[in-house]
Amino acid sequence: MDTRLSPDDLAALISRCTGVPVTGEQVTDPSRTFDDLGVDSLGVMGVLSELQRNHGVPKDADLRPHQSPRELLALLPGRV
Amino acid sequence: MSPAAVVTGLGVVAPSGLGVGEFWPAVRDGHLALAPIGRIDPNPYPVTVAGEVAAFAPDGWVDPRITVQTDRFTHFALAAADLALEDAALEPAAVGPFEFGVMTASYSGGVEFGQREIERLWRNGPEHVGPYQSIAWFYAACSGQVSIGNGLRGPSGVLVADEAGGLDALAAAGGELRRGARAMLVGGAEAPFCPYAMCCQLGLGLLSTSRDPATAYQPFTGQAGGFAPAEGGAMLVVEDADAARSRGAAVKAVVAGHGATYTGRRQFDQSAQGLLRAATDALAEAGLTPDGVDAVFLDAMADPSADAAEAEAVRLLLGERASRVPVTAPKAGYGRCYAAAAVLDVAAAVLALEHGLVPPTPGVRDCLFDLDLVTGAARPADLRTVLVLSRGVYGGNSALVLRHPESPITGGN
Amino acid sequence: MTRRVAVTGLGVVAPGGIGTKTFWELITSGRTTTRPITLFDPEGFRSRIAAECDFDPVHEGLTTAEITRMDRYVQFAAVAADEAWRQAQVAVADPWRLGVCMGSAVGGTTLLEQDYVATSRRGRQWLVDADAASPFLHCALSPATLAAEVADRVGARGPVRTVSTGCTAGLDAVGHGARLIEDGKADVVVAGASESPISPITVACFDAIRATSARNDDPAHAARPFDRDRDGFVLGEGAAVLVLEELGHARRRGAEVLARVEGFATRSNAHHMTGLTTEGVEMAEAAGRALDHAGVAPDEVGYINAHGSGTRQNDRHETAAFHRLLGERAHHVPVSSIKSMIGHSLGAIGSIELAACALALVHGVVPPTANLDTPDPECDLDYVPHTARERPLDVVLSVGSGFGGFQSAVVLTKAGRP
Repeated sequence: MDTRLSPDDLAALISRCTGVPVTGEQVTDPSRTFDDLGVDSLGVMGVLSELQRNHGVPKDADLRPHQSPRELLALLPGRV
Repeated sequence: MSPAAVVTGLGVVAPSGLGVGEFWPAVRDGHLALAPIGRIDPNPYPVTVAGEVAAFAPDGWVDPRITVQTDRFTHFALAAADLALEDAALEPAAVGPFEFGVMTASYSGGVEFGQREIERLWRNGPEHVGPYQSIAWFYAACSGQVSIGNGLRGPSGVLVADEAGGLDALAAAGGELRRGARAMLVGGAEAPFCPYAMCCQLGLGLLSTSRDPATAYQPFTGQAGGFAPAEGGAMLVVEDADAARSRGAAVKAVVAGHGATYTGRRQFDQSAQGLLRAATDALAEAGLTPDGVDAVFLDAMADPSADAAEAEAVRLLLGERASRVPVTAPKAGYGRCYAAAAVLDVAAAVLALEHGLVPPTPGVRDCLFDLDLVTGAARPADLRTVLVLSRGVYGGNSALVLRHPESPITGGN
Repeated sequence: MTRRVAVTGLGVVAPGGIGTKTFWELITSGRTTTRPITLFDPEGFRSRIAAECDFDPVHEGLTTAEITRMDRYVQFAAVAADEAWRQAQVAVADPWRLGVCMGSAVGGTTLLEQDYVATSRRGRQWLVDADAASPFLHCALSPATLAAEVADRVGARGPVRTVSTGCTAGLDAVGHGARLIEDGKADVVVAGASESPISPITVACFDAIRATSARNDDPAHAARPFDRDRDGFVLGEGAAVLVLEELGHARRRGAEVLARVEGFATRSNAHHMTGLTTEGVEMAEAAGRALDHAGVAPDEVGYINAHGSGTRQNDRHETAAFHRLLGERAHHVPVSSIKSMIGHSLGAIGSIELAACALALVHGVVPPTANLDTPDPECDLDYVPHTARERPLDVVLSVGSGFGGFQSAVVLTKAGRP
């Protein structure tokens, strides 16, 4: 199981799961929420499930559209 | 049905073409759009010829955010809705907030998306099912996405009555117009070409197993050996006549009457009476008698007993005129698109009224029945009233009467 | 001349028992039927609870051929239709004037999934083996077969259709069925809905969006509409069928009229496939239009059967809609959700709720909302917690909300009302 994801990897994963084009820069911007990016609640759940399945994010983690991808990045193991 | 329902826009996504600009010339000229199935490759199944919308990809038609959360059948519906609105020159925001609704018919739903998610569940476990399964597979996906995509907050519905449901959806939309809606997007879409959907359809025992696209779907002939299935769809803008007039819309046809009956699952011999009754009811609602019918668009199941029953229904309806009134089945050229089949027929019939031409039944030469089946080339005709017949594998028989917009308005209730 | 619609027969298959009498006793007792899933092994799923029907098709009188041919949801519908048809005792002289309008959201999903497992070798083979499929698999692809099976049981030859607007299908099927009578297309319509969605794929798809309750250690208290401690809906299954009859037709033959279906309307929120707005505008609009259609003022509504699925978003959306519809009077109209007792059976529940509404009119009793211990502070209406309430009723409103943004409303009135 690959648990290491760069911001660019995360951006690509979000794009793949949600159809929304997202850049690595956008996912590290703390002021940009999923809502701002145009990712809705279902999209956020899809991204979270993908990270839980394949990237070691804990099963009980929660995430909402008003949160930012940067907060998601912090949930990934091996990152601060 | 109220005489007040008028067709003002057609959106077609068919094997014969995208948009009426491609669809009508192909239908008019009897173009054959059947081909070996490309979406199931390799194809181990006995059915190998179908009508695919091979040129269609969602890019450019569907927002990428929506593409990932929808099945191909919804992509067709969204594209057809865009085309219909454009054809009607109708901006949804110009209609009152609760006065524009959606009505679709579906037979197989988002089955390709569903197959993929069930596969993930059984191969990898429940947590591998994605969040979009809950909104992509079900039959209501198209009505929901078309409503959301176009900001339509009026009445919505979804019918899954077999193939006849396409006409029933138009009748249900007419019911909404009578109850206060001003416009409805109405139609259907199907995308039944993934292995599992094919596996389900094979059980019908009604699909053609011919490997030659030129002879695979030959209704009303001695070679009739089942239909070629198709994917695609059509959406129509149907408006209240006063609403259409007040915005200066070009009216393409009047939806004048509808009838629907049921004659039992797989009892095609019974469908002659069922189609007759449905057609008689539809004509009565339009304030017409069978004498007024100028052309008939046929269901054309290409099953010997079903074809015989349909020919019998036409003969009983039209009496001695049966051998003189032009009848046709353009779908022989592009396949039978389940719940969307009759909607495509309605689109073709509206175009026939508009152009004064009855399109041919492609690939068919020797009609077994004493009907004036139009073959070869389109036939010019002064069309005022066209009857569309549709029938489902689970016993539904429906009929719709369309009239030229310059015909005197009669009937109604 | 306006054609009005009477209800002259009812049939119910619901968790907690088969038959209208058992159903009414259950939902007025406040007992819940939610329990651990037994229809398959739910190990590994997030939500492992449901409201299941203890249904034995042999005991209910279905033949071996019917049991072989019909998926579980069709069997439910057959049994419910038989009960309703027996009660109505209607002889329709002209079968072309007898119609059927049935609803289902996910139809033959259970059989589709079972056969997929068989034909794909548990998901390992994309090119499924068609020879391993059941001969009835084609019936599962499209719930058009649901209405056809019911039509065959009652001998219908008029309009026969299935409605599949997701979770509002049960209301919409009855609404569209009533319109067939209003519009003169039929004199009698057998209308209702059925669903048997408790299968791995359906449970997994609601798991994926966390829509269902994960209160697996306390299933009896898991369905908690309007309660502060709710955590989603509990999946259910079942069917209900109503015999609808043109009022004059029913009167001429001296039939007992249980209730009248007087109003129906739908609206879409055009907002989100699963999300609801906080304002409830479209639901209020659908309800208002249905009341208009019935010729009833909002002031006359004596009970609202809520969608009440038990998701936070729904409960607030709906509460806002009722405020918008009824204004100040909203606080004085009892509102309840029987989903608290029998779960949410998707496309079927709307018809089951209409059966409950018809019975509420007949008995003058409002069924309660079970498990409502601590109301959500944002849900400030009278939700009839725990205990049924006697109340003479003339006009009842039932609403539903479904994926796709659909909002539906049906108005039933008491038989003797002018």
